[in-house]
Amino acid sequence: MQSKTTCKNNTNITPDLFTFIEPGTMDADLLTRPSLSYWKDAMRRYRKNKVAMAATLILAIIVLLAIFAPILSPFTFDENNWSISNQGPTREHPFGTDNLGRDLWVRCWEGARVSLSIGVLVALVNATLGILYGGISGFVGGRTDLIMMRICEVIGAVPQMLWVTLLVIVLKPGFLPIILALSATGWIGMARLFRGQVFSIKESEFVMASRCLGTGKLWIIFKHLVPNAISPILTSMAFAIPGAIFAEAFLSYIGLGLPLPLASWGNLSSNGANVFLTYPYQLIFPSILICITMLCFTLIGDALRDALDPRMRK
Amino acid sequence: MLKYTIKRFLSMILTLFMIATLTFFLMNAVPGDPFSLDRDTPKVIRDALNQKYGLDRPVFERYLTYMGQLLKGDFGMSMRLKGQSVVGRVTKTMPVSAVVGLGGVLVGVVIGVLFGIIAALKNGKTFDYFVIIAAILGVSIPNFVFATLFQRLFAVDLRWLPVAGYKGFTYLILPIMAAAMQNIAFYARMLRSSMLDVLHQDYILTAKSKGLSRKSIILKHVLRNSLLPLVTSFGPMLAGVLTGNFVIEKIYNIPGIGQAMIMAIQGSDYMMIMGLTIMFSFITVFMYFVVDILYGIVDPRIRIR
Amino acid sequence: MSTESILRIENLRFSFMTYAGEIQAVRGISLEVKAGEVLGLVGESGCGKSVACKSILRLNPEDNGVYLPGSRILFEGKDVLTMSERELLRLRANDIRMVFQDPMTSLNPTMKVGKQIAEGILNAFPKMKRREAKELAIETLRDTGIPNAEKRYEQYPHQFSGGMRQRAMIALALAVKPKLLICDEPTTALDVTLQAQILDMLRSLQAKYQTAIIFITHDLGVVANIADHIAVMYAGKIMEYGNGQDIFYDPKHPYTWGVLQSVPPIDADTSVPLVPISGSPPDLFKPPIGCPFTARCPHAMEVCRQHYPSPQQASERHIVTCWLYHAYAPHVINPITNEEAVL
Repeated sequence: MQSKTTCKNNTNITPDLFTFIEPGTMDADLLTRPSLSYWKDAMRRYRKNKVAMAATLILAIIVLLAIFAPILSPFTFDENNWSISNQGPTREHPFGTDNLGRDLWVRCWEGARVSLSIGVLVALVNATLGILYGGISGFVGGRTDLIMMRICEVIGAVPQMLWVTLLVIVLKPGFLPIILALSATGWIGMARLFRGQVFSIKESEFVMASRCLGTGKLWIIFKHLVPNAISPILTSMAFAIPGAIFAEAFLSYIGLGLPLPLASWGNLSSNGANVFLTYPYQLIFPSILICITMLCFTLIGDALRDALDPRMRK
Repeated sequence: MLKYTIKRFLSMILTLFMIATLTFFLMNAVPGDPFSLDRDTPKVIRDALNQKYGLDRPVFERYLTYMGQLLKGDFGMSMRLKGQSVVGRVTKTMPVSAVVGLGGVLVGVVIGVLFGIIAALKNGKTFDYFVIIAAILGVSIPNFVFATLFQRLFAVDLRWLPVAGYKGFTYLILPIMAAAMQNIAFYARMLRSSMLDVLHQDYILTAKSKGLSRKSIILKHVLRNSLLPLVTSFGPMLAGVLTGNFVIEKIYNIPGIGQAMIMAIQGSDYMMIMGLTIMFSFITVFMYFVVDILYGIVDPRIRIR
Repeated sequence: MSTESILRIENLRFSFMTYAGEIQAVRGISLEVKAGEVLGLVGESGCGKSVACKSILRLNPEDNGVYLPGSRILFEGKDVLTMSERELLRLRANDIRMVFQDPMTSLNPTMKVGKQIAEGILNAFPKMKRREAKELAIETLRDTGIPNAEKRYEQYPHQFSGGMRQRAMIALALAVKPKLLICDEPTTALDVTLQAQILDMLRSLQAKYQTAIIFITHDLGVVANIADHIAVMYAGKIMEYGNGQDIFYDPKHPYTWGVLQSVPPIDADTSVPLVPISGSPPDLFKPPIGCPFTARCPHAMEVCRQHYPSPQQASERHIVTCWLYHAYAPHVINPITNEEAVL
């Protein structure tokens, strides 16, 4: 063995540096980054997404206008005035008037109320039904699960709009029937999604482990289910709202929309389409509103998915 | 593979049966009989009509008769259009709808896939952002907006193409374009993300470590794998071919199956609605079946099971 | 054994640029591989050993990663980092091949295994006929211990077991008789009996093909029988380098001591307790200026915290980077040899 060598190139190395450090004075854990909680992290990512924040802001403006514009306007959505029928946009009627001289500004915002309510309600009902159905199917499992999923498959095999059309014919067009018809078929996606979540958690190793320790199985599943399932649920709800708004418009176009004089974005634009070649503004305004709203929800849905997906965490 | 096909076929038959049953009872739940709408029709005639269509008999008996008819391929007669059977109406209107629908799908898939691929390859560059923005816009704008917009721009203002109706190929260009827009957006988005996903797979690194050029990696390894999810989407998409274009057919006044359905709805032609719905569903379910089998052929991992 | 060096890595530094800042994955390593030699690169996960080896083929992502100036990777005298695209493709096709950690995901699921091997062969030897490439692929598959190689050639990866896939991956790499084979934890994803089989196979093929191998692993035991030299990496730096004898029987670095004490030897004496290394490796966002092992080192000194030690030679090819061998350093006992730690 050779003797110890000296480092001559390093002049600032002095003997007093060669004292042992007391164990524990250098905490290795101090060097690691502080960990953010899941929700804080998700919120941070969402806020950082400028496009999503802009979409949220625009949507907020649309909601505010839907609430206040009909209240603040001197006109009402079902007030006919034959003397000013089919008038283009003026200062008094910013969006013009329709064939019965109804103010389209008020009707558009009244329509926003109806369309947005349909969207939100349908998304909520779908989520609730889907979670209940998927939850039962997933928790019970076995033969029940098989039958319940079989039912889902049959309903899901038919194009959704066909079921909706059929149901609206049976229930007669109206606000509630449309919501019912859209909810009656929309929950399937959510049910499948939630059942998948229940299953993946049921079969995960930590549930096995806690069952071995004697903890209640249901409670454990539930405890882990909520944080795991909430992000796909939120994301799919964000996409369900514009889907329902579009479906309502579809129904209006095939003659099953809300009966007049009620206003929705769907029946406004389908009525506008009928006179589009002569009075284009009657279609343009509601269409633009639909497009902006759909766009906002798509962007928000995308951003939610990116923000909530833990796999994106780097 | 044969076993899988048979299993899938039997499950399809079961699904068809359940759909027919569900539709029948749903239509029978509609309050009032279809002829009560015309108030001026004398009761004697209404009764006669009800008898003619068998509406005076108990529901279950009618159900059995109807199912028996379905088995023979008879979907019933229209209650409004004299002497027109549902099947006859479908065979007459279906080809027109199929041209518009499939045209829209074809144009949409081809352009969308191309856009998606280029965007993924130019990830982070200008074209990528253009595709992302265009795709989000395309998905968010309803097809009736595109339809009316195109009608105004290309037919009314520019006078390049006919406004509406169906008297030849030129009449179909605008409807196909309108039908294609959402498909373009959808497929551009899908291909872009599936391609980016594949590009980050380990086996691409293996291919790279073999010294393959970027071009041959993309042609031989990336494309096939990123096109796989496309096949699964064909089922729902082909299903949407028919229902998705109701509105477009209406706007362009095209005598397709969508128009037939709208007419039936507006005329309360229940037999026609029921027949068309079941017919639609059958076609859809059958398409899913075909796509499933197709997928098994394309993806060796499924073929084995 | 030839003494000609085929690969020289000089002061290699590679960083990933992320939104949160620069991750210094490799922080200045220098290594040498001679023709036909097996080098074991050992370190815990995240120490930068994989990144370092992918650098040799320039396989690290270069859109968010960067080779810092001063880094050089000389293969047969030519710097890989300044090669043209063409030269790089040739290098990957013919000279240096790599086997990756996870055999389950490293093969294209929709392409026949044989075709993936033949593709690599044809890429290396463009003049070869398809049929010859197929024969060579089947022969190499047989060499790696795959029975029914002709039949296996026509199968898809999902029809292979994990061990078989890793054999196929090795065949894919060795078929072109590369001068250097890099194995990135090739046995980590496999179970223990398979590990031994694969290692045996690699060793015999190494003799047959006369290929130099860099063998990356987190398990010192795995390289014990196969490596001529071993480099022990920690936090993007090389702590100690020496032959098997040096590393296992006369290690100099406290980190190597720790690693050896934390694995049970084959002839385990149950009365000697295992000693885990407490703490966790430093964050490579902000690596310490001094020795990165300071926080976990039982012999840490003030100097370790403030200055990075310079490499010390214990023998011609046994190098240790530690302050304990400085003239000023206090005396400590080497727990492996139970003697005073000296060079």
